[in-house]
Amino acid sequence: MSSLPKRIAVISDSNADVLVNYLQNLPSAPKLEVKSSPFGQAMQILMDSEHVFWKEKYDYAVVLTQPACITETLNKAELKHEFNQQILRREVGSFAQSLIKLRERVKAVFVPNWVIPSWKYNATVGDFKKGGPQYIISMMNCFLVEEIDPVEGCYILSTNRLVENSTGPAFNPKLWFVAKQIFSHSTFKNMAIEVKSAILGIEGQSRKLIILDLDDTLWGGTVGDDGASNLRLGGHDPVGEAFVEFQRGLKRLKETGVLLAISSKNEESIALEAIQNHPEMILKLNEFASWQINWDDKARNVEKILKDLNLGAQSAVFIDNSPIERERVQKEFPEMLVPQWPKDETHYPQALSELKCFDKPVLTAEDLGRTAMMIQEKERNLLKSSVGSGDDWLGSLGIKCVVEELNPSNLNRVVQLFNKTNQMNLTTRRLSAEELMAWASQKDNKVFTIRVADKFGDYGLTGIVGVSKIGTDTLIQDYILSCRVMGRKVEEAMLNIVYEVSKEYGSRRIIAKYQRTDKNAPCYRFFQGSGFFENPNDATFSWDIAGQYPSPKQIELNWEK
Amino acid sequence: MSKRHLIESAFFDSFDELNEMLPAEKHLSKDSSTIVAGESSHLDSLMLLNLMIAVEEKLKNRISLEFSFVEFIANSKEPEISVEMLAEHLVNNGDQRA
Repeated sequence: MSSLPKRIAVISDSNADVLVNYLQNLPSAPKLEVKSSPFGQAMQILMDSEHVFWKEKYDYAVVLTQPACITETLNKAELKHEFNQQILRREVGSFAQSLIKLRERVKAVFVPNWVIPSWKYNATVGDFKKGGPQYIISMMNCFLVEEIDPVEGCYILSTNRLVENSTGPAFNPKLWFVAKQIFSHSTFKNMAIEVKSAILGIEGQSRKLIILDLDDTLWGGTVGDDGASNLRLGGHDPVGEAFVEFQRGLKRLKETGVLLAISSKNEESIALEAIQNHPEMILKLNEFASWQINWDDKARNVEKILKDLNLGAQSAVFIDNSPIERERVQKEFPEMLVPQWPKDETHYPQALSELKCFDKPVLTAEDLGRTAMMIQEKERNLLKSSVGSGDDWLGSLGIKCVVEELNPSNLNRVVQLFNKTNQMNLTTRRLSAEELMAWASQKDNKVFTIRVADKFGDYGLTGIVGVSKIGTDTLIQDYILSCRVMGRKVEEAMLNIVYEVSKEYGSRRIIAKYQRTDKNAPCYRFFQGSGFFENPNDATFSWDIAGQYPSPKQIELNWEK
Repeated sequence: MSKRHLIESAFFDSFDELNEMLPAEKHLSKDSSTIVAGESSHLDSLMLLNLMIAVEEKLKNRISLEFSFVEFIANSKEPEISVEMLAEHLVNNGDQRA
């Protein structure tokens, strides 16, 4: 993600300055610049696309409204006992349309669902009766979900959860009467954390790996001392049930593409046997992408896991019940998230659910199959150690690349790669889905995607080349390859793709202008060894079309028209 | 712990919460001499309101003390009000509502 702060609009019909302050000042990433709507103008701003508020550009928007600003139904139901469902649906529908329109301006719109402040109505058993306040609010929220759920980039935040997790009362009538502030600062803090976490996910910066301890972390007890059969895991035991629930939470995360790994001080054979054979284990051995189970220093083991999975510390979370181990790992890897972990095991599932770093509003096929891909990678490496030369090894993999132009079905994955790939990235151009589609639809611009598979499995969509025809040159605007397939000669295959496109363009030359960042030196080194001519003065590489740029013999390249 | 300490700790815990939404240069120092209201305070009126309500809620929960700082500050003739002054007032005036 670009280090430039993201710009966010907060459009609220009540005083949301506290939310703005949290969004701006909470130290967690991403850095945000926030502008809030002037007091009392939220609906005008939403409805009027020419409003002066829109003179500035925003990346994201939060829209916080009260039910009374959307509909009179609530007041009418309370005062006159009138309730018309059709009118309510129409009014919520009209509001939803303004959100959908707003979505066209920004990458994502976040809408906290409507709630009634606890001080506002006397809670009665009639609240959920037809026409009662809770009935109406529930219906409004359902109508809103129905309208905006199909729209990618419109997300409803669960205000109920934010309220529940507030450290003090979520509402205070004094805040409302003095400052027209609907929530307490604690609820606004939760909202800011949720929005920031969602933005990280959208920008492809959510955490991808959880490294777990075993004893008293994944199960209760010490497997080496107590034996697998005496572990507290499941059964008629509140602590055992909590560990099962914790594992269920981890499994849910794994199913959204988060990798799980183990770093434990134990005898490996005993620990693995417990994982494989304990009847209450929710997580099976094949659901862990990597493990280091031995008596070595934890930080060294964590380092080995990161290397094994080819991930940086900024992608990982370390969960361990021991504060000493946590401190050791945090000191060694400052970028790793090492959450304080509760002493009470029954709070583990909640502590996991409160980690706001895995949010991924859009899941791609690559996210869903990440653990399987990592296991395939291990099998490849085993083969590598048993085969003679690097070329022989690559040849034995049976690598196939499928080239396809950018289209709506691959757009999400392409945007994800665009915004998170650092190492093999020629220009590190970051674009939203809309910006990329707009660019690719211009005459003489093309974006090609490369899916890579071999005999062990599918790496998924891992490469992108974006090219422009400029006069008699083909300019490589984007050259992006996931680190998963670096060094498999897919790099050369991608240059062959550019070569073929350049011939179609009728170009005479291919140009690649390297834009240096702190992380993309591998891309520079690849181009230096690619056969392209380097102009050292401006780190520009070129290839004369008169000479063919061949596809590597180890790769079968197929074009999908 | 004395009543004064309990009151001051309610302020300091609330400072921790408020500081997360303030830029670093405006962070409130956990010191009884910290000015919360008046010209040299780092807090604007909305932040002051949020601080006072956070403290009010803590005092009510922790020592069953009900007090409206908002009204007290609004009616005060002092140009600046510190944590110490508010704690002193509460210690001397007990559970009286302002």
